[in-house]
Amino acid sequence: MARRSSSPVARVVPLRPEGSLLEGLRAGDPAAKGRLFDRNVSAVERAVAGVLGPDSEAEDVVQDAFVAALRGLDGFRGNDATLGAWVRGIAVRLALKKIRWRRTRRWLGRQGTDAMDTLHAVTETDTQAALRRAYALLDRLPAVERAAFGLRFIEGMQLEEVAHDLGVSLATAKRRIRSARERFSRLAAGDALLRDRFETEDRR
Amino acid sequence: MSELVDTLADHMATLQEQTRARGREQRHQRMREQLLATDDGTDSPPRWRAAVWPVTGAVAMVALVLVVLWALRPQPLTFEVGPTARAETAAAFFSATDDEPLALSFSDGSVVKLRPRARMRVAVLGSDAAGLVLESGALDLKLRPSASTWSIEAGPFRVRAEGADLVLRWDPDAQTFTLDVREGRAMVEGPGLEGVREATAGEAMVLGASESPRAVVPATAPESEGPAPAKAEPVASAAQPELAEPSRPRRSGRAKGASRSPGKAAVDWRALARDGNHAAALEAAEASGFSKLCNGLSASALLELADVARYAGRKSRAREALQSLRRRFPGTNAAATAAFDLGRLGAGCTGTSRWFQTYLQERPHGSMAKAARQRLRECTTEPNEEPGSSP
Repeated sequence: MARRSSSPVARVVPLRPEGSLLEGLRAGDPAAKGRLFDRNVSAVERAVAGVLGPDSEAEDVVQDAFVAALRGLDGFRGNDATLGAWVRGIAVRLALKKIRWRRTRRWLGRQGTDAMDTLHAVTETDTQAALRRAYALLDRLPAVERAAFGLRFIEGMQLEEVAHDLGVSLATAKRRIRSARERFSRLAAGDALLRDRFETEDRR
Repeated sequence: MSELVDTLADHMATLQEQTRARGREQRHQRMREQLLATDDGTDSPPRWRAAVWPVTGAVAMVALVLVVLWALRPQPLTFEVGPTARAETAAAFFSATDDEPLALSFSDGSVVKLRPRARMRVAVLGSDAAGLVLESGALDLKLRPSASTWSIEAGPFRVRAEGADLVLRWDPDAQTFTLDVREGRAMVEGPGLEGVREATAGEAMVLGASESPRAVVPATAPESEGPAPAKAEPVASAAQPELAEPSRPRRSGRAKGASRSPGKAAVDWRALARDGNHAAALEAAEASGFSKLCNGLSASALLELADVARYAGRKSRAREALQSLRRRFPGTNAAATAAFDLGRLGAGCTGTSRWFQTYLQERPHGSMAKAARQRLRECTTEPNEEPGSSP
């Protein structure tokens, strides 16, 4: 008679490998789409915010970036590891396009959307006013420089990431960042409100 | 200063992080659902996307063709005048001085040279055609082969030519037209010719405005600055010999009988006028009968006579000549010019304004229209009533 062991038998259930995200996406797997979104949405939001600042249309840009990525998968030559950076690059380009479109509309005399229409998080009135001024100054920079500054100094991204997202070489990205910083510094120094508000804060 | 930038960047980073943090989960959930519901087109790309590039290419091609056609569109001829190469446009009048010829260089390579004292007008400038009006005197025409078609009007005569080398002369007083074809060929129309007459290289043609051809002869030697050849037959004397243009210096070897036998009196006053002796010229004209001249001279000669009188300080005589011109040659360019000159002769505004207005009515786009308008404006701003003649 076979003796049945009374000791508990540990059942080892091997984890199913998740499989290639890229393959799932190319196969039209909805779960893969969800995974792509979940993994990258925060980074993409950061990148878009770096370019646009607090902006009511940022959410649309993020959404459009994912849709554009899914539609452009055939042209993607990377792998799962580089997929996120690729989507982020798409988002940055869409955000830059948005800035240029707004500037064109403004140049044509059409009312453009104010990128600074939401500063809900700030309760301090003078800080709110000063930051609004700061974003307005940032808006006077060339679009790429504005993006370089936002990605590097506001969102704290690595130089390599900034270069990748802007689609330029590392050297060019450094040049853009330096130029943006100098330009923004000059503009900020010339603004009495910003000087009063933030230099005072520095001294405290 | 970089501290200020860093402080600002810190504040902005905080603000952006706070903004993103607000409602993050709900927002992401909403976006995720929308993304999953979105037809991302991985299975079947929309049909229109396949057509984007071909349509864009076709539009670009059409635009390129239009741009090329626009760039290659025929350009109207242009020309430059004299040694200063001053650019001119059509409807311009030109006259050579008493001593110097005047050359007009056209963009098709053709050259028109007005001989001394000749007057002409560039009437038409097209992309492959040009029209000249020879008012008086002689001109040399060197037309570039295979270039434009040229039409030259001289009185009632019209010459059409391409790639030819011609000398034309029109004497409005004697009403004689001469054509010397040195190279190529020209088609001539006008009184006394049945239809179109062809003149080929080496032929010279002398025609009267009211008669049959006076001479069609082979030219023996190329002409340079002299009058048109008329070797075989002398050009018949003008009906009013005293009114004809004075003889011009002729080169030796030309048929002496070809001169137009101008009357002595006419020779006198015009010769004196050319010498700048206007008072003596007027005296000579009066000696030969000023009224008779007014009733007999051609329109251009009457303008000349009026100038002589004006330069001699005899405005009344100038008016007489000009009014005679207007009476005898109504509706002509010369009559309009006479109206303008009558306006200039007036001292006040009442009479002069009427003459300038008359000029503008008759030639609203004439070469002196701008000046006439200017004079009228001056009269409007500075009224100066003085009696003057009226049209």
